[in-house]
Amino acid sequence: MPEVRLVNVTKRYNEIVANDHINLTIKDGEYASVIGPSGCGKTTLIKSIAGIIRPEEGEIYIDGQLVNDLPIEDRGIGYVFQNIALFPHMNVWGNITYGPRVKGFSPEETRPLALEMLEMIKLSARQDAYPAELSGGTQQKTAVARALTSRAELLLLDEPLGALDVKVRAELRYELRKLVKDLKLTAFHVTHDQEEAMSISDRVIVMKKGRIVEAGAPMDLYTRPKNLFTANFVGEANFLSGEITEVLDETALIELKDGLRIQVKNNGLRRGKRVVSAFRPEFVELDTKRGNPLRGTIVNIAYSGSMSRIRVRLVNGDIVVAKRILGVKDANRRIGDNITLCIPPNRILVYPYPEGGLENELALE
Amino acid sequence: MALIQLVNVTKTFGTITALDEINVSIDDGEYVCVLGPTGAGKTTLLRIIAGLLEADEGEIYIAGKCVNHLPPEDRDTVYMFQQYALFPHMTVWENVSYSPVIKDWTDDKVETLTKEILEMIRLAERSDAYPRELSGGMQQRVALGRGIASGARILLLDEPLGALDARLRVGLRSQLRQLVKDQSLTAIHVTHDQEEALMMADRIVVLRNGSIEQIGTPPEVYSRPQSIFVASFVGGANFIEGTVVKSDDAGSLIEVFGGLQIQVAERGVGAGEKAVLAFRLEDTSVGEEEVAGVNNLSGVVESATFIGGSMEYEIRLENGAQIASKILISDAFKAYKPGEQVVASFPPEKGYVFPYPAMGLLKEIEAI
Repeated sequence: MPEVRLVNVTKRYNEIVANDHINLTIKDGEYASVIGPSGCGKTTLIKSIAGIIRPEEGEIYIDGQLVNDLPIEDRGIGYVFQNIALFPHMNVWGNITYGPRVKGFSPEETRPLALEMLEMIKLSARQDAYPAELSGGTQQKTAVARALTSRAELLLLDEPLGALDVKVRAELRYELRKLVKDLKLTAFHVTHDQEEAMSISDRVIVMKKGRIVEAGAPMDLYTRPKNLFTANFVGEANFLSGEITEVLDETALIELKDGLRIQVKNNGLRRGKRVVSAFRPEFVELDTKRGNPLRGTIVNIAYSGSMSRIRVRLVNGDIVVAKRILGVKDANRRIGDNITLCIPPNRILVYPYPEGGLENELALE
Repeated sequence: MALIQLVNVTKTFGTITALDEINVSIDDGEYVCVLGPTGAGKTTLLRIIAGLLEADEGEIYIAGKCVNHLPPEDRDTVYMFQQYALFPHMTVWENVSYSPVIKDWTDDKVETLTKEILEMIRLAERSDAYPRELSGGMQQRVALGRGIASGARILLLDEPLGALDARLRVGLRSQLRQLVKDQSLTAIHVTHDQEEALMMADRIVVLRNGSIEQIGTPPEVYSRPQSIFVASFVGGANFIEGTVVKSDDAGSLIEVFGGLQIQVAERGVGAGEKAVLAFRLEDTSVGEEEVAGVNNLSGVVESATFIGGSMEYEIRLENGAQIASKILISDAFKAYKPGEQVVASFPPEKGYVFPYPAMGLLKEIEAI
């Protein structure tokens, strides 16, 4: 169970800084994921740990050992790519025993571990099958097993589920996490899919423009993101900008557009400051009188299975989205209906208004 | 009025039947999603409508005319791939205006239309940029703009959002649908993402192994799945094998392993017959006490996974079966931990009952 430690890791491509002084420790046995929009530097980071890319500055330690000058095969890692790269002319057994074979291990030494791997990925019955005979999901499981038969204890997963169908992807998440935990591996997983990262990881690391923006346990990151970009990137959020007009002991008031006011918890807020308030659609309640009652009109109802997103235009023109599991009452709501939204003050996060503007701060592309 | 009509369309590749007597009729202005797992025949269907593939049997009608022998360019369709193929040496403006130009329109008309489309795809300010200078999402919007500029009334979209980042994809869903509706186009959109189909489509065609499993509006497909496969593929559910012990006005009483009896409002299977009981994860609530008037299943939490916005529990019931529950978080939300004793509940009207499948339950629900 190796620990991975990155110290000031920096990599540039001409004028673009892909990784800008990254400091990060992945603990023994931790399942850590990195998310971020395209071009944020997450792939560069995993490739640096693997030894495929060489950073210009900084040190990479695996299990306490400086590995900057070690080639990929000596780093004790298993690497799995998005594009499933099995040997097409070898069956499942041939593929998963390939690593130990070229490393000079005898078949007797390899066999027990390979059998255990097949058992774990539930493919014992298919060890004679060739990749072409397997589904995409099964091929990717084989690729994971192959990465581990060389006795790797650090598993690097570069969009491992990206090429698969949504439903297969959701099921493989659980299997992948279970495998890592059962074998007591350390895993570093790169994905563009925030839901995947949330459901599979102990800790999620958010990157933007070559830097780590924030890292935390999935639930913390979702309910108490420390900055605006994270609030937007790890799930849907409502953002309303305004100014702090009153500060009391426990609470503060934010004046939104056209004098509309909402109450928030006072966490060291200052009067007169321009801020952005953010809250999740799940926390918006409909037609109750508690919290911050805000009147508006339904402008859209978007259905997606059991959940619906109800888009409401407030009296001041601001848009708020509420997410509901459709009960009988909600199913009867129509576009154009008047509605009162309530937002519990303790669920509203308050951020300083970003210097470059709100839209720019939230931009994904 | 039906704009596109497929009658008994069949296509085989060697010994594999990619499409097996497909019958579907699509109205003018409709947004239809074709949903199914890899290998269901979705792309084959789209390519046959486009004229890029020929059907072995059956007829394709567009605006009442049989187009089986018409080349792709005469079908009033435009086909868009997942990997948007923009001309790399042309600017955004040139890419979008490419088709009307070759169709010999006047310069004025081309200019007006191109401007309008660039406004619509919100790229008017980037009209001089080359594809490589744009993000994936922007490139995809250019490809859409070019498709719309072709003047074709029917958009055939093959995983149009598939190559984009997850977070970006969700945002583009409503934009794409709005674009199609604003232009009064008809769209057939192929996807394996059930959430995408539920959010975007007027109607969903669920395809499996070359056959249509169900056609309906998103609420119909989600709330009244006609097969175990549809319930599993669209939305997902808990599935438990059992035997119907009573079927009356109250619905069906199903006995599952360990003697547990569960009431559902549906009556699809006769008394004494083997059946599969299904209920949605999001219709299953989790608490400490039994709830009156619903099915209460006692068990122990095995895992609790937070998936952005909701909590998913795996619960081991007293009879040994494992079920799952998905709870949307709310202000009053209380999280349970692995090892805690809980009661999972779902109301009878949220349960489904299906005849036990000939090939076994697993065959119907396995994804991998």
